Amino acid sequence: MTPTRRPPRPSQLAAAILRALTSPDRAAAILGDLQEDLAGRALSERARYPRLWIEWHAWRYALAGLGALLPRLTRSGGFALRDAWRSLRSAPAASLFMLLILTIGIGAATVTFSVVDAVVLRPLPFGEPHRLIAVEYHSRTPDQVVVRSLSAFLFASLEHRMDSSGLLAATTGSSEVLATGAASETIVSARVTASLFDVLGVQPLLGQAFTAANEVSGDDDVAIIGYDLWQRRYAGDPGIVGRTIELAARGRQTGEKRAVTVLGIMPRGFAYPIAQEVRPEMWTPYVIPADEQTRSTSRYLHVVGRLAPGTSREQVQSFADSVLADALPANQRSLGDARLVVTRLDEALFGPVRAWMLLALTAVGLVMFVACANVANLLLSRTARRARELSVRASIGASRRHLVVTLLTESLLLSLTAAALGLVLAIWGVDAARSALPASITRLSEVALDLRVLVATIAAAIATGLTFGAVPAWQAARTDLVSLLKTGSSSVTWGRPGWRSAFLVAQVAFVVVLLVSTMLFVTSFIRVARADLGFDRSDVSEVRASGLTTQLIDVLRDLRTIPGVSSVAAVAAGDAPLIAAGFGGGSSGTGLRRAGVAATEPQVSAMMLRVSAAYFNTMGMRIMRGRTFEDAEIGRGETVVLDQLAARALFGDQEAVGARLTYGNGVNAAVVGVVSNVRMRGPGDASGPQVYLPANAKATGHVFVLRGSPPPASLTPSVESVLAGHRPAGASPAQVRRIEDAFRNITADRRFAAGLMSLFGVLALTIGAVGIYAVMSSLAAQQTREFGIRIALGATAGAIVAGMLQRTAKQIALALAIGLPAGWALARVFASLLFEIGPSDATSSLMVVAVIGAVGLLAAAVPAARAARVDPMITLKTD
Amino acid sequence: MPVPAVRDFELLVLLAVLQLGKNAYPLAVAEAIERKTNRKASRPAVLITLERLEDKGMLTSRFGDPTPVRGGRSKRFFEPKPLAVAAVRQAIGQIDSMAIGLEEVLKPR
Repeated sequence: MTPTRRPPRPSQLAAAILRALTSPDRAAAILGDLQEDLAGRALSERARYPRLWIEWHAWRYALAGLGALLPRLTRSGGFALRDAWRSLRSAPAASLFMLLILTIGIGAATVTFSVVDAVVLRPLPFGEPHRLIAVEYHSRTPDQVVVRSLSAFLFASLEHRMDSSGLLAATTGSSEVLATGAASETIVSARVTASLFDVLGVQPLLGQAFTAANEVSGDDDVAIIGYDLWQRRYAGDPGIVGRTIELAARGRQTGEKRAVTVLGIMPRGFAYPIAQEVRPEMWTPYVIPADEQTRSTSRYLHVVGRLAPGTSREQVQSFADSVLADALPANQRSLGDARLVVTRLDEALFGPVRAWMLLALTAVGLVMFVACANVANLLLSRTARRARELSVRASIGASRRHLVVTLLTESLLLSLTAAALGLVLAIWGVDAARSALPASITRLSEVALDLRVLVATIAAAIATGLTFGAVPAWQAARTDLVSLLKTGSSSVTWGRPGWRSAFLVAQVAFVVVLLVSTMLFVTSFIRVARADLGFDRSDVSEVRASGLTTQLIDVLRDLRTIPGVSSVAAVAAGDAPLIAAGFGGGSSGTGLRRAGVAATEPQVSAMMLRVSAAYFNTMGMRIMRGRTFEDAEIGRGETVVLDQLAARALFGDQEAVGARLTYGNGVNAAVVGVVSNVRMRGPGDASGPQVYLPANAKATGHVFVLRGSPPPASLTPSVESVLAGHRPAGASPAQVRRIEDAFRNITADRRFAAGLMSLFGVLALTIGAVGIYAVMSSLAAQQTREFGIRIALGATAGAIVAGMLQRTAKQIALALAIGLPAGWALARVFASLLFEIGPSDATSSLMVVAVIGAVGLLAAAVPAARAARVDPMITLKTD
Repeated sequence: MPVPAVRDFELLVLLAVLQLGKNAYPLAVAEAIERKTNRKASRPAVLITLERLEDKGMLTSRFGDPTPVRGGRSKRFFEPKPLAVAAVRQAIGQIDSMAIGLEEVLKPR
């Protein structure tokens, strides 16, 4: 018996494509035609390679089908669009309401995404950014002290150890006064090692980068300037490269200048360090001072590196561990376990911001979920009311597929229109976000609506439309619409009410999740604003002026004459609390030891501040023991005031006042007082031990602090006129800033998060309340007949209302049972951003329960009351 | 209802459907055109044209019974609606009108 040969068939892929392009029945008919055609050709011996022939022709059908699909889609899409538009127009109020909810949701999501994308999602603008690392010095104590900078000695040791494993560079913030031309201008600059540009993988646009030769004192009078400075100051003249410019000499009397050769110009947009509030515009070589080459004295270097191919971060971490182990025991001990920590550069720069940004993205995501659940519910209610219309359409030949496509088109039309309106809203929103966000956020200026954001918005709109349109469409596909029509009732309903309850519970649960975080962040912010910083920040202003030529005591005396100023003091430049906060490289430290302890013994690392006598009173610090400085001590270094942390670290439980200590290069001094520890970087960032020394006698190099409430408008002119007598004409203007403004700047991220969470929370709560109202109204309308009968049988209005409220209360209780644990879990993810409050704080949770309960029942009470007023006669007559 | 205009190939397909009567499925239509006109009729082009004419409301389609020669698959039969007859009549009428006075030129030689 000869086996039957199976006739050739096209490949499964070709068959699958045919089925995808048309319906399975039609595809089967095409394959049947192919097979019949082939059989006919075989009979006439025209098909020499039947397998090839059938495959080739199947693909021809597929290609032809593809070509025909587009016009068909356009045509049927046009019909579906027309139907959807008519349907939306038939209930304009509900459609506009859904559009409004979606527009706000999509607009908020677009703004949030554009900020998050620009600030944290995009890679760093440097070559191969994944290979960049940052090295930080972490000194952890029970009080959570973190110092971020490295000493020059540690940097040099680690650089030496790295060898061929990668390249390290160090930077430190600085400023230069450009003295050339008519007006002098202060430029924010950075002193950097020659390797910085190789580490970052960015080379000058014109000219050249520094070389190792520039890291030698005497050969370091060179500078690289930023693109903006080049355009602004030198009108983009390429001839500036190689020319000499004059800068004010560092640390000398006003008037002295130094000539610096411009080596190169950096490309547009380049800035490093990039996390600084004001971007540096000039880079000069950093030369390690001779006395810092052999041991750690002060720490002020921000260290960045590039891993060589094949080197891991863990390897560099092990180098760093051994470098610190070699360096520390010999001459310095920190209060806790110190570590050199090697992290990815983007993690070091954006780590804290990333958490805030992800919080905002999560919050806006929750708002979108609430909006989607709400719109889905409204559409479901509406589709239920349209059941009769859909039944009629089904009975006169509309296919189930066509009805589903119409319903999905309706939701896509809504979401895409909302996306278009949301984008318009986002144009304004992005501007608002740029001005509301803390200026210190890296790359904030790059936030914009661009193609990435546009694509994301449209994708989100389509996903949203499909999400909230899926259930009504699915219900339409499952319901037997024609038999629905046969029931003949005027109040045809379909679909299970369980879906609407589920959506209601879901949206209230999402609102609860969001409100839990909102309450926590708002409470956090209130606690931040009231936090004890160790000084009284109200009514204190900081004055920064360069070029002072007189004695400090004279400047202080004259500043005190300004009307409204009650107290004036000075602190060495850069050390005023809160003002210097930011990523500038952390506070500098100095080694302290009790008098008589050998220099080789472990020391306590403390922040050193040189202050005038009235500093403690002017800053409103608490004097815990002893006294503060006297005017006679200014310019001398024989007495110190310790803060409570330094006193405890050095002397334990013994009395510090009256004891003696040694600091720096062996200077001996008596402790005269103990004061409160000041949180230099703001409430969220504890500061380590602090030691105060009397200020220098000369006024130059100091920042002044003024207590009092002079009219803000007149303060700057008053300060200028006072300082005019202490410095030559033409000096750059004095900068006056309120410490409160600096505090606001430091806490801006928390304020923004609290504000944003409140905004999203209220938005979600409103949408949720409207959702409850809409669903209860719809249920009440569907139950009118039942209510009419019950009232006719003697039920009271109160019983009807109570029944509906009970139903809502059950749904709200279920939503709380789901939402609260989810909210706590979410808050736990962002716990590091909270301030002195736990993620499952009971008071906050109770407030959420109270708010949701009250708003939910109120939203249900209105339709319930309306239902109870129904006239039984009218209701029964209509049916 | 206005009668839609049909293109050259659409007219051939409609005529083939009218001639095949109850037996008009894509393969048969293509073969009929090839037989009568002595020109090549691409199978996919015939199918796409039939579906387009169905979309325009001139044809309807139904599935027949499966047959063994087709690997157990059904044929998709197309049937003309009154609009198809009207469209064919209109197209032929237009050609006839244009040909009036050209009898001498068009006479087979």
